[in-house]
Amino acid sequence: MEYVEGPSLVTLIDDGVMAPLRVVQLARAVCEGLVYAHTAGIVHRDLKPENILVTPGPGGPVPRLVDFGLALSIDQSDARLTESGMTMGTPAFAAPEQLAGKPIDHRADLYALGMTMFEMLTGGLQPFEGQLMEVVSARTTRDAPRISQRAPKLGVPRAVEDIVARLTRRRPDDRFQSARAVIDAIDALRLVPEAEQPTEQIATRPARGGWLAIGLAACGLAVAGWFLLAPAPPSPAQVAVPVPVAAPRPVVVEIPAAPPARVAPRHRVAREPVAAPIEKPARPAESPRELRARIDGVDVSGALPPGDVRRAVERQRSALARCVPASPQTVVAQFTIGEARRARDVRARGAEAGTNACIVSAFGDVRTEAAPDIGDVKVTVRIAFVGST
Amino acid sequence: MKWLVVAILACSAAVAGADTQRTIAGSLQLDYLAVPTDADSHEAAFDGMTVEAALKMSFAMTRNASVSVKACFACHGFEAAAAYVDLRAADELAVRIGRLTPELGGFPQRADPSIHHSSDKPLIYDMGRMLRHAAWNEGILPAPWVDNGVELLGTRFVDGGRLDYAAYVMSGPKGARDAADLDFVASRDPGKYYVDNNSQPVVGARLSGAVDLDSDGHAITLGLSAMAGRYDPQRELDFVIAGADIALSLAGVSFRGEYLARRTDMAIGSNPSARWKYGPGSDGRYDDHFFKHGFYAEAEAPIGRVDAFARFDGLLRFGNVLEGSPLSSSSRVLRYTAGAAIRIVADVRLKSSVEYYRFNDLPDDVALHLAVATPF
Repeated sequence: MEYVEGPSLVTLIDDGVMAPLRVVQLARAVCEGLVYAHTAGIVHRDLKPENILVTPGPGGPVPRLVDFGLALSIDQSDARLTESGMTMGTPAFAAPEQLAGKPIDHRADLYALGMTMFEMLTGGLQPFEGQLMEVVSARTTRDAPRISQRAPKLGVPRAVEDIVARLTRRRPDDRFQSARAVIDAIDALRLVPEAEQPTEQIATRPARGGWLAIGLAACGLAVAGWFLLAPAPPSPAQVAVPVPVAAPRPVVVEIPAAPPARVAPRHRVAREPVAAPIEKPARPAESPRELRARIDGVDVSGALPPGDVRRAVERQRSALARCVPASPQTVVAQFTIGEARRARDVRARGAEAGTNACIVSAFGDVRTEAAPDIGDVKVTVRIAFVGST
Repeated sequence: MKWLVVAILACSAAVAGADTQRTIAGSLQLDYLAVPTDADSHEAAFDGMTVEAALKMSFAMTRNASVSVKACFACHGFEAAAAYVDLRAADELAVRIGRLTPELGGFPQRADPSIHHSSDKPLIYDMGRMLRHAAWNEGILPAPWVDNGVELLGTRFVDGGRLDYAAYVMSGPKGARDAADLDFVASRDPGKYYVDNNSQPVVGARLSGAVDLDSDGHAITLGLSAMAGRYDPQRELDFVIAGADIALSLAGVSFRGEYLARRTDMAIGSNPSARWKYGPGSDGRYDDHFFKHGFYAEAEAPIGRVDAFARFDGLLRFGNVLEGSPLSSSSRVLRYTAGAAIRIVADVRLKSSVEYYRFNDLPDDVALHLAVATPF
């Protein structure tokens, strides 16, 4: 295994807006890697510009996926994964279901790819603006805005914008259903480099230059192959994995302390939602398995009997159980119930962003038997995540 | 009644800011109705300023038992709009006992002025603000209809939706001996509403289902309602009310529609030729009932601080009418409403609307509303 160095995609994004042609070529290559990883039942879970190294190649820059430290396979009882329990990914790129602590699958990687493409095409802009909590809340409740909404003057080709928009849909079912489908969509484009034409044009016939994709496909094979074949990982380091099949390029992975075990290819990731630390996973002081959610108080202001509201809140216990953070915390959640008889304007504060977002998602499903007959009802819920006794 | 109000206010003051087992809420609306088109309409409408105020308190006695009391002040003076106990065995089964608004139709659940954005109500649920309301004797059943009785109700939550159901036994609306229609004034007369006039309860039920269209709260709701019973002291005159309603929220816009019909028996009387406007039919008999039905369709769209809305509603009546009535045996009124509710500060809204009435028996009219309403 060779040690590989190279600038991450962040560097290129920091240099400014990237040409759509370059973006889709890189994205296609990344997809090729994802195709193989997903086929092997592996979900990266932390795809982001920092984890895509761009190294020079004979035909141009070659993206290399790194840091499979959060990669996850279903059907395995990976101790590290179940202990960290709940989060995964970096909030800016994590899929809404990931932020909400819900079960995720390979489509979470596609969402992260879409967010990455968004940054590449806009020179680092994020789809949502605001404080972290606002951003997390927005992403768990609505689709990402289109590039033309955030940066109307960039003139990103509509077809490219459509791909990014579909990748960044809030609901997994609304996204591309596989990395292969993304490749097909990219292949349906025809982007002409700016050097050849005054403006980039898009046609619908397949693009040439699939060599990059083939290379990345091999990279993907290598990624999966490493996970499938490696008997015992060395200490965490960036190493290049020899390509197990005929392929021109290696793939770079950061070896996790406990890599996912070999599993049958499946795309569904977890029966129980898992959550990861917002940044680099750190072993929690207390296992979340030993924590439970306790509803400490339900304050009701408005024209519903407090008991009705409390019952509605308690119906979300199972959803709250999926929000257990790594360490004991107290969260205050607020929402409003109107004539639709369900919670809206849900907010949560007090815990880490992932936990807050998970609680926002859980309480977004609060429904009451009756509607308030005067105005709206304001509800404040105090939740303590405490150790089991 | 005044003692009840005093008691509620005293309790409200006592529980304000207290623990979480009690809630208190209220609403207030001051509406100004102007009728610029027809001087006669002034005499048959509550033009000018009217105020509606409500105060409700709920107390959770246990996890599954609660008491709610609501006092209103409006055209009928002070009124107990709710005074009931809820006993809930499960989501799917609860019993409500006392003075309450039974489940009938969609609009009565949002009849409080703090919820709906127009100053008045759909014609089928009118309670006095429609023009010519005396000639029409209101709509199908004024909302909120408040009555004494027992209601069984429940909700079944399912993935992606819900099913609500209710069945009730109530005192029922009242009518006089030899009545030609329900007497809504007598039904709400504070001096009489606590007793039934014929000791024969009415029965009713509602079934509604909601399907979530997405996870953002957009949903479609369908409901069916019915109520039947007798309303006169002799227990001879039947009435049946039935209707269907639909509500759809989509992309921030709310659409609602409802149809409600009432078949009502009339006492022909001992001297029908003097009592009725129209003579007997070809079979030599006078109508012994009339049929009244109506509908509304409305849409609301939030635009910043403004909730714009439009409504089209109508009321139709078929059957003989009393001598002297301005209506005919086939009367119709259609109304077109457009307006906006502007959020001034917090939940305080300025409501404005214009209504165009088209009567087939009476001159057309225009009504203008300007109101301030707020929950608190």
